Amino acid sequence: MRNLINIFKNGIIKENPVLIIMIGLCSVLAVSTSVVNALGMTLAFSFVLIGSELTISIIRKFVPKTIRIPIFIVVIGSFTTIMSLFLQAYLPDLNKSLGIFVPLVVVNCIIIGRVEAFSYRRGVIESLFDALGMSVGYGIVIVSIGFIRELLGNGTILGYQVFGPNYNPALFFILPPGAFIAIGIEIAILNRFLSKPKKVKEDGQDK
Amino acid sequence: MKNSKEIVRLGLILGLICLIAGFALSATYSITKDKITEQQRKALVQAQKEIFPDATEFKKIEIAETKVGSATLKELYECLSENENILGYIATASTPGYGGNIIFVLGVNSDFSVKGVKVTEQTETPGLGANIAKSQFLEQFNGKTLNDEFVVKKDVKPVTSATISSRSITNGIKEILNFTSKNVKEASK
Amino acid sequence: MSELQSLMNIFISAAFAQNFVFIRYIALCSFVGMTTSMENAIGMGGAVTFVTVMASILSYVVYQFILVPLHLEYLQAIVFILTIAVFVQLVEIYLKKAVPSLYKAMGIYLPLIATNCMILAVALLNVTENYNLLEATVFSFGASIGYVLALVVLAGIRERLRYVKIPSILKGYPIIFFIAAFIAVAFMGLQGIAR
Repeated sequence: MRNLINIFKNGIIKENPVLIIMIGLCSVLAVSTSVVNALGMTLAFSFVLIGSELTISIIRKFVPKTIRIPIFIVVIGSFTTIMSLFLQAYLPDLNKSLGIFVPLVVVNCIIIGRVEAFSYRRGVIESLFDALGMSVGYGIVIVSIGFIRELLGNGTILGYQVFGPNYNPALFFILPPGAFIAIGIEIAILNRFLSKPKKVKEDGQDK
Repeated sequence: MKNSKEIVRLGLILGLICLIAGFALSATYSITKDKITEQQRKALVQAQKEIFPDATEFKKIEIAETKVGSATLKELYECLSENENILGYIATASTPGYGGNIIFVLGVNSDFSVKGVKVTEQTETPGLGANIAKSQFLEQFNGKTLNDEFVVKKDVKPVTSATISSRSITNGIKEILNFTSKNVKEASK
Repeated sequence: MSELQSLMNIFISAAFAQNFVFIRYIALCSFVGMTTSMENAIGMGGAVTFVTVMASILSYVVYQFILVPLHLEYLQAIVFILTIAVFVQLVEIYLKKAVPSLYKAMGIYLPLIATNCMILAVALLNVTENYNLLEATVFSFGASIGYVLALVVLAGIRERLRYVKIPSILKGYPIIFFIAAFIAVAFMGLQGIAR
């Protein structure tokens, strides 16, 4: 059980796909113009990641190494297309907001990366927890950036005016430069947060 | 011998997975197909009703997608009242904007003045160009005829700091209004 | 607008006004990962350009002659990515055998390209924008040039960065993103050229 918890936590902090491994960036920056979009993207992404990791883990014994990549693509692509069809049918507004990044989930490096590095080699339950952890890790980043960008760039949270009608939003944050700045800040903060324990170690040793 | 056996085995595995995936995909497609078409029509139907609330029927005019200047006319409808009088026309079109295509619905009175405009899809800059979809901006086109000028900043008030988006939709409206007035006179014969 | 003007429009829009890296947020992973040196940037840029243009043409053909007649348009994402992956694989095999020197130079980038979002994005956009084959080719070429430009600019800056003192909190990726933000502002100024 502890192993599973560790696997889960791993996706959120130590191997956070966006801030640490630096993959899956495109969707994070493009879709984080509002919290609603960010949440929607997280759901879409998680569906494909969890589905793909589970499926690959279940069939891993039957997948020959030589053709594993095309098989990964077929599985991930299928989940992506299924997710896309459901969005078009039942959540058309979200589908429009996410735009081209819905089909681009199929080449999201996080999914292909985790499938290759983890679920192809590990059991089903472990893969489930890895997928969940990575989804949460991804979600935390995209929603937090969405929070910053929507609040500063639009004056709203989830569509509700926060600063009152006279607030002139810093549109900068909704636009591309704002996205880059926002993620730069988050990485910087995380670096600081992660490097602190190391610094303590250094001080503790005799130089 | 072993080599070709191996290739066949690999091919079969890949084929089997593709087959299963194919089933899953076509099943999902058939479940969602109708809902998707419905959703795509929803925006159009809503816009039609908002522009011509008195119309009881929107009869599609058979016309192919045509490029009109920089805009593209997609569909054309006759708006009929209860007793089959033509109240006006509805044109759906797209025109290239700042961030992509702007899809809009133009309502034209039977005297070829603008009845109303609705923007159904746009990917302009949120907070700036995206405001061309707001009724505050679009209302000013109501009643315009082809004799009017459609010059942004002179007789069309643009969205502040979004001149390009404003120009795009303005030109689109003008071109489609022009096209509609020229072509329906012939079509309804 | 003449045909040539319209094509120029598409090219300039794809390369500058709607630059794929700085405006559309595409291909960011390789943007960050492949700009450690000018060599990598140019190599990756060249490889991506080649694959993007060829894959765009291939995807277009597959879409028009297979997907549309069979009413299978909804499969475009998965079919395109498979087409791209197969194409990249074939290129790799061919290069290995026929032009080993080029394979040595470009080969490492090829597997990375299969997951490069830009190639798939361009193929998908060709469909949504309803481009014909010529327009699609110009569009994919423009997009690639914009990508190469982005990589080369950042690689150049990163090479200089080595000689500059950076506050420790910004070391590594944060400073790169801040720099990207400023370049993005510059590119935003180019928007509107095409229209």
